Amino acid sequence: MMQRLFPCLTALFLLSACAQGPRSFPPPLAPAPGETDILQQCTALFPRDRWQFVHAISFRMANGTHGNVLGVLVLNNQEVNCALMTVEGLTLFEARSSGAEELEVVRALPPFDHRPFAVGLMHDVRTIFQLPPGAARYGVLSDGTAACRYAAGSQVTDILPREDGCWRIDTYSEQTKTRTITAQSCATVASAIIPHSLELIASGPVGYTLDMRLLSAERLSPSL
Amino acid sequence: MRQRLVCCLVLCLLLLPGVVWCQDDPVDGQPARLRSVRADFVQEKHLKILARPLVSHGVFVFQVPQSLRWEYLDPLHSILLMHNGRMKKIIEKDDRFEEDNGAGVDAMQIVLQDIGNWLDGRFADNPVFHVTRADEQTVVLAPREQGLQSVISRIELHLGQERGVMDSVIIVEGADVYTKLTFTNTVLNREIPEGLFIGP
Repeated sequence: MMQRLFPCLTALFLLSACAQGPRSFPPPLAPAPGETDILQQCTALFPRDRWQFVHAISFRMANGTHGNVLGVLVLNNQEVNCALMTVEGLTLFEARSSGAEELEVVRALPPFDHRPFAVGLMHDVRTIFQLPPGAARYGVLSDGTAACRYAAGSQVTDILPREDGCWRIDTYSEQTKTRTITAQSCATVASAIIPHSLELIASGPVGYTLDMRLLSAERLSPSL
Repeated sequence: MRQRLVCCLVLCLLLLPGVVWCQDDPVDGQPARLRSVRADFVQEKHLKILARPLVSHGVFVFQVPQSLRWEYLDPLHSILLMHNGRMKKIIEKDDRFEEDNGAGVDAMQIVLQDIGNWLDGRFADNPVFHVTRADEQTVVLAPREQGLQSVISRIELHLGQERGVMDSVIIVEGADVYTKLTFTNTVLNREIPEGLFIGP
C-alpha cells in the first residue's frame, strides 16, 4: 500500500511546487550611500591566492538520503581542485576546474559518478569561495539589510555581510531562489575571513542541505 | 552491483588494519591463539591536489571472533563499531554523537566473515583479492575483479618484526593517490570490556 502511495504523494508534491504563483525574486534593492566601501567589504569575504581547506561535510538530500564525507578543496585564484572522501580515506570523487566553464572529473565512484553532480558541486564550490561574476552594485533590501548584488544574465547573487564579520549568500536563477549559504563563526586566518561552519540550502524538489564544518584552512605558498 | 562492491571494499579497507600475522608461534610451534588486538594508528591520505597529506589519528581495538572498534580521534571524531553481527558508525557533532545511517552500512556486514580468515593468516581465502608475498614481511592484495581494480589497485600489508603485529598498511587507489596507516603501541591479547564495542 505504501509503495503505491509514495509515487502519488511525490507527484502531488511536485505538482504543488509547480503550481506556485509567479516569483518576485530577487527582492528589490534600493540604492544606498557608501557603495564603493561596501563592495570592497564584500570582495574581501572571499579568499584570494592559494588555499587548502578541509571540511567535514554532512549532506541531506530532499529524498531523505544523508551521509557524511570529508571535503578537500584547493583554490588557486580561478583554479579549483576538490575531492570528497569517506572518513576512512577512500576517495569517492575528485575533480578540477580552471574556469567556470571547464570541468575535469578525475575520479567518481557511485553514487557520485554522474556529470550533473560534478557540475553542481563545482558550482556550489565557486558560489561559496569565489566572488560572483557579473556587474556589482550595492543597496539595501526592504528590511534594511545591506547587500552587494552581482548580476550575470539571469543569475543573481546577493551577498549580505553581517556585523559579526560573517555573511549570507542568496542566489537566484530565472527569478527563483536557488541557494542560501550561511557562514558562522568567522575568524581571520592569514589575513582572510574564514568561516568555521557553513550551511548551504539548495531549494526545490531535488534540493539538498550541506553542513560544512572547517577542519583546517591553510594559505599555501606559491611554491607548494 | 558496483555500488555494492564499493561498499564491500570500504569495509575491507576498514578491517585490514585488524589483520594480525598469526602463523607459527615460536612457543611450542603451535599456531598463535589471538584473542584481541589494540593499537594506535596514524593515517596519511595522499592526493595529487594536496600540498600536504591529510593526517588523522586514532585507535583500533579488535577481539575475536568479530568485534571491532575503529575510532578516529582527530581531525573528525568518528567511530565504527561491530559487535554480535551488527555494525554502526557514529560521528561526533557539536559535542554529541549521532549515528551515521548513510548508504552502505548494511553492505559492509557482508565482508565481516572475512576478518576471521585474515586473523588466521589465511589471506588467500578472501575471494576478492589475489594474494602475493613481495617478501617475508610484505603481503600484497590485488583485486581480482576489474570493477574493483578501478577503485583500488592494491593493498600492501607490512608485517612487523614481532610476530602478531602489523607495522603498516598502504592502500593504493591510483598513481600518487594512496592511504598509509601506521600502527604503534600494539597490545595483544589483553582483556577488553564488551562495552567498547557497543557505544562511544
